[in-house]
Amino acid sequence: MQQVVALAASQPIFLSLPAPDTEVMSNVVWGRFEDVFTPAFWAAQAWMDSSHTDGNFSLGRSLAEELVACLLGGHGAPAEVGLAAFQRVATHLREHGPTLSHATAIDLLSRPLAVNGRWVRYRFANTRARYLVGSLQALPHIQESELDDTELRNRLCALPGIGLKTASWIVRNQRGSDQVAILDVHIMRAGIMMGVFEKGSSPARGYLGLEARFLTFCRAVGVRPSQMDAVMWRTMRNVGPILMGILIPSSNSRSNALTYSEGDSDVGRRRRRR
Amino acid sequence: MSGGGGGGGRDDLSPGVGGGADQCGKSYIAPINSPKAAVLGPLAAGAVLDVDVLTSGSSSALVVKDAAGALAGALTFLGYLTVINCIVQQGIAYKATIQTITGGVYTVEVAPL
Repeated sequence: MQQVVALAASQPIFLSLPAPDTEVMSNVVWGRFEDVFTPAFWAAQAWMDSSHTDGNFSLGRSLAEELVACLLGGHGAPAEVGLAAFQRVATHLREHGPTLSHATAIDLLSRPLAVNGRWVRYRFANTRARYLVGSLQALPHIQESELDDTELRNRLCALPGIGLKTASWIVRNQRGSDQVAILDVHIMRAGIMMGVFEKGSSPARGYLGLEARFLTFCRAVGVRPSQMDAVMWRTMRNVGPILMGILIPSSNSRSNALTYSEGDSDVGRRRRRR
Repeated sequence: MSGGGGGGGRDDLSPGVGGGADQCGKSYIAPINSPKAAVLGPLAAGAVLDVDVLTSGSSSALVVKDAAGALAGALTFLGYLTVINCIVQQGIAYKATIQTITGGVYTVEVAPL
């Protein structure tokens, strides 16, 4: 047994976890909670995190806005830039209605964005504009209220530029869903370091199998998948390249070995040429 | 809208745009986990411990040590990886000052030097 102590309102609170050598799932042991990126570490960090206990992950005010946020926050866009682009598009949609012309979408995404006091450009404006226009046109044909989480995810995958990861992200944010996983580079790295995912695993090959492993892991450590995802994403995003190199000696933390660009073939080609 | 777990660039591998530079200037109040009674026992509130990253194989932990270098315990507060990052990435040194000792729980303030 391991005992974790944390502070809540300045008072100590305690969490008991199984012994480090106990299996949390097949061929994966809990590890020590003091050691970063073990299952016990993630269980303890999620236990201490109270930022999403209300299950609210929404970036937008509607399914359409959530789609915009996730589509623009996809591969190749720094988080802050994606959010700034989303804010601009969402403001336009609220003022002018739920669809965009291609020209308007390009205009919205091409103009520089103010991000933390700097002007930056949104990359892939043309491609993402095309996806936005097509997806917003098709979205009203999806009867959201009639679909469960995985059904909604699958329907969203049929929209331009949206694959399993982005569709899962939309559903998780919109519904606080615990039925889907957002297998981005950060979740993949965390999963591989724990042994929940095999080395060399890629969501481009077998997304649903990896998702099932992730959901099984979360349930095994007693954490809602949506909550675990939030903690992992925030934590992993802030791991610097030197530390990542120590933790994954064979990796080049800046490489895109674990990234993939679902449906975003233009982006993928451009990255691969580098 | 906070981004946060909602994310705003799920595959983002960038260091961020603007902001964030003062992450290493933060201080934290946290309990010492897995406390070593033999090391902490003689210490009182106000005692200062070294903060270090203990790396073993592919694992790292944030630990506190007394002046003689003896391991006193671990720090595992929410977001402690930020401190590990600041030590490993930027070479920033931290100290942990014992604030309270209650029921065997040592609470420290972790702050950069």
